[in-house]
Amino acid sequence: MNGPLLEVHDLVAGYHRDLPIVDGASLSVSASEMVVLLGPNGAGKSTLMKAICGLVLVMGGAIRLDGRDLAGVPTHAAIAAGIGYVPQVQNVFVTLTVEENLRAGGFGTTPQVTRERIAEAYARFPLLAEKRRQLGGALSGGQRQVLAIARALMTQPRLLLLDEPSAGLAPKAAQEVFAAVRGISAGGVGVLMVEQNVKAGLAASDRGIVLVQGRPVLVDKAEALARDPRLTRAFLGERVA
Amino acid sequence: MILQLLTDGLLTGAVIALGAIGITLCLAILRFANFGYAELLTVGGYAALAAVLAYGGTGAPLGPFSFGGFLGVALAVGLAVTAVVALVSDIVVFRPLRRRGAGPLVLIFASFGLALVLRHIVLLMFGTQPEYYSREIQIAVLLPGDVRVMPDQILVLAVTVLALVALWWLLNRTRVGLAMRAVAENTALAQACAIDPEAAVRWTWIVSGMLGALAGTLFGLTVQLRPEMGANLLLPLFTAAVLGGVGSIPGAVIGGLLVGVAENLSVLVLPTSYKATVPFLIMLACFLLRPKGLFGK
Repeated sequence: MNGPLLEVHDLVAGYHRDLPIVDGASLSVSASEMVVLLGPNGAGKSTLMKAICGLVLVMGGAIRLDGRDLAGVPTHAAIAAGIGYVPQVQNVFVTLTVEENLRAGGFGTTPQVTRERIAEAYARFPLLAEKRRQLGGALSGGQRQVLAIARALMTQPRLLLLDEPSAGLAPKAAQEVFAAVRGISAGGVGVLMVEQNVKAGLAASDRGIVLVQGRPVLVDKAEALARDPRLTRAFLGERVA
Repeated sequence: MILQLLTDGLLTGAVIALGAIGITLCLAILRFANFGYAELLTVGGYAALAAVLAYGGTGAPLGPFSFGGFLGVALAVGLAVTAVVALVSDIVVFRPLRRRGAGPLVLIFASFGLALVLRHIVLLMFGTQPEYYSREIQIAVLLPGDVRVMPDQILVLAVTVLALVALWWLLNRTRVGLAMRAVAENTALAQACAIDPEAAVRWTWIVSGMLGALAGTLFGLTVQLRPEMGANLLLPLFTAAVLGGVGSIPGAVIGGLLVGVAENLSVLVLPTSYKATVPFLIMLACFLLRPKGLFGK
């Protein structure tokens, strides 16, 4: 395969046609690569993720997954095309059991394939097998994050979008989630992750992108970005690019 | 006396419960109060009647019942016609509004308009006089406690229980049901699961339309068919759904039974002509004391 897995070019997106939140963003993610999306509050990180999987309006630009244009397609079609998405909040169905959450995740495939993948998910995350009959709402924050990721993997996406997987988690639980995501990425999946915890996010990732006012201002290898003095300045609102 | 009223109340309540489930599904998945829903009971009841009239009756009465085996076919016709009417009303009225980002209030008013249109189509086609599937005499069964019930009424209860089992199976054991429950809880997350919310919406119309047709036919069988029957049942149906807690199916069932019983018991303390105010009083009390209903979240 040539070129990156995901290519976003000059993307303009938001909730309202006259009010773009992502404004001219370009970025790329390769297979097996883990990219962290950083930036101050309101920079448009979550909106960018939602635009990639068709949950907000796309007003301009291109989103290509393996060369196929996904700009403006409905979410269920973007998921079918190979994207997995874990929202930041309300990312599990609290009124469905753990197993039903996984079955919902496998909706894009056949029941037979869904059964096989649920077995795989239980092998990968034994905790979920233990709690299979419990409601999603009965799980702890860390367990919900694991379930949300397992659910997103049900369609075997080539690109996984994670919106703040460590939000609200204790440091140990956050480390476990990051380790699980690294494992998924090592298996060939491209990961684009929004993270508020800059240090931990960069430590877990290959590359970092800093988004300010809907536009990437810094893009570098994670280690280099962690040492870059412009990183802090970008968060403080200074012009860095 | 009280036992008899209680029994009659449960039988009325069973029909209300079926319709209340339809309303609660609409509220949970379509996310607006569908005031046109009760007309689907009328449509279903009259579609079955049309089949009966075309056949020339329901056939020779089955055992103790007032109707013959053809009523089963007529019911199937009613279910199919109502599901189609519900789907078409979504395609013609509600879907274009949803696509334009209409709020719940716009959808509610649209549903009022649709209700008028549907009711008057039935009125034009069948006239104002009450209709019956069958005028055969049936003999009441005497139960312990000096309670009399008609064989038809016992069948209504049995069919209601069957319908509830079928609905439970649909919602908990099928992909369609899983999609409906997922969309009811969290549409965005359902979309992230490759579930098409529009497909869940279509199924909601089909399922709630069929529940309405069943309720309308059972009402027509045990009471009578009138073009305004749906409109008259609207308040009891909504009360049952609100009392049970919006989105809760067990709640709608219990709410329906409670409304039916309360209506019938009210004649002990109120003049019979005030019976129709009972659901309204229950709804007011519910909004004041427990707005989320008995089983609401």
